[in-house]
Amino acid sequence: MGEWSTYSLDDFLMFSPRAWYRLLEMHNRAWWPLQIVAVAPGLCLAWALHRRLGSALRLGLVLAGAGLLFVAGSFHWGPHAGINLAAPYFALAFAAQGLWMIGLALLRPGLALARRSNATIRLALALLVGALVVYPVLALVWMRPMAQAEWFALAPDPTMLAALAVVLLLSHSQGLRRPAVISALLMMLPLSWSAATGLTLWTLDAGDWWLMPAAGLLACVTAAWQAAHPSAV
Amino acid sequence: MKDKLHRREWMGRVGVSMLGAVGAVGAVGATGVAQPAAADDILRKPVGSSGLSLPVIGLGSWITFNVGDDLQARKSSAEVMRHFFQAGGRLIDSSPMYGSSQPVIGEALQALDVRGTVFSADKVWTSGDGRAQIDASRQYWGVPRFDLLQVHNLLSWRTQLPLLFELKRAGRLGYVGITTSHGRRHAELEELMREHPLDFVQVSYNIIDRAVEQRILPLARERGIAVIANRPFREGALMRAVQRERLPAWAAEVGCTHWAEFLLKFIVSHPAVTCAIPATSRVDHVRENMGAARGRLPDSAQRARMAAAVAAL
Repeated sequence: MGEWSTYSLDDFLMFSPRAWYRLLEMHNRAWWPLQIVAVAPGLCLAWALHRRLGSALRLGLVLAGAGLLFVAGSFHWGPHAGINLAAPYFALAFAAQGLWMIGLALLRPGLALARRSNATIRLALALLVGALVVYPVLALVWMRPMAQAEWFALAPDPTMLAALAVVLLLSHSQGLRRPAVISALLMMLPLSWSAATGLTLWTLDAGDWWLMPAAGLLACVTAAWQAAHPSAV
Repeated sequence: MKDKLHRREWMGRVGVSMLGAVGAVGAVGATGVAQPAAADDILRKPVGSSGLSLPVIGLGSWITFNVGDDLQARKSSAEVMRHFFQAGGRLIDSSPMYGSSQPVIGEALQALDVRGTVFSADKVWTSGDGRAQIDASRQYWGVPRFDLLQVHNLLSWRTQLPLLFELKRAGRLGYVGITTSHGRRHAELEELMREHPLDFVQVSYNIIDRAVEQRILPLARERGIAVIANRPFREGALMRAVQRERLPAWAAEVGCTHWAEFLLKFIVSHPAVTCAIPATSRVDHVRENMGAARGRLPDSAQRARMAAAVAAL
């Protein structure tokens, strides 16, 4: 215990900010124009959610699950593993979460969004738009070239943010026996990732380090509030 | 393939022997006081009684060379290494824990054709099969054998240290060492230094973090163990802190024209320290760092003044 207290976050960071952003840049270059291809169905999902379509939930599970699987294979298992010894474990976690979400969508045909306008749906929609549209633009806000922008289905943070939005919706779904429990279980990885990526970016001196932790915290508070006030709209 | 391997191994051994001879030319007395070598004016210090001496500034690779498959960054790393060798540097330190640093170093060594010049210092960092890890590291570096292998942060030293001594006895390793960082596990390190015939220890030492001066450095000197100082700039934080201030005018008296030299000369002027291993990804920085391996080193009174000056900032 005494020895562990001598470690700081810096001791666990094994790459420089330059290496991290160059990694994102090379990943974007390798998969262009998949960024646009991935955002398009995401915006369809946002529209379906805005219209409170019941099928939005299954579409979201498939889309976010596929995004997680792609990030697991193309990013964490690939170039990210070149600079981070923990990346293969991230790949396994992302893949497991992605498969679980897709499995739910495919194996529960009755699964649908509860047609109620409530805080959870509004927050999920905001998080989804943040993941699809706001996240890529953040590169410009933080004075980085657009080539280093983070896109849904390619970079881990916006993809996990979209996943967080979708699993938040699960707590208000039809067709599941214990939706709140399933939603809580599926939120564990997105929340853990939000904390981990926040700490990593903070150690890298990135200005946007607080974004994912703030989104995770907001999701937690909203889920808890909604659970305490199930009839609130 | 077998012939090729055999030839490479033979050439490597000749290279190592030649390095030993070069080292002997630059060797210094048992006092550990650095002196310019005959061939050039770079400051060297002896490695125990082995006859080898090393330039007082080496090159670390933690974070800076972990650039993955980024070709542009790999080229930059190779440039840093080219300037390091051009300035007379020899020791490069890495670890399996440093991500892609090992293959980046190996690629640059091959491109620069300096495998006969480099003093390859790596680590074993596993509680599993150390032999397999060492072999993988050696292939990344592209060297026939390592000059120095160290047990990284004392991890599984009961298993790995006997393996390293076995490799040394078999002629498949030059020197054996052990590392720690951030001032951790000094009591255990001290015990190991007393009980095992270590050639090197690697510890954190800089103008602020000076805990090793109490027991580790005197013990190393007593037992003829070479000392590698890691974190000389506290991963850059120390440089960022001092660079806001002007270098004291009297720094010229100790042969320093900029802060990097000032901080590094403080470290390598300790009689027990063999070399410091600053890491950098920039050519201008490696040039500055190598400046600390030239000119005169401060004496004990000047060192005290240097430490007081930094503490007062």
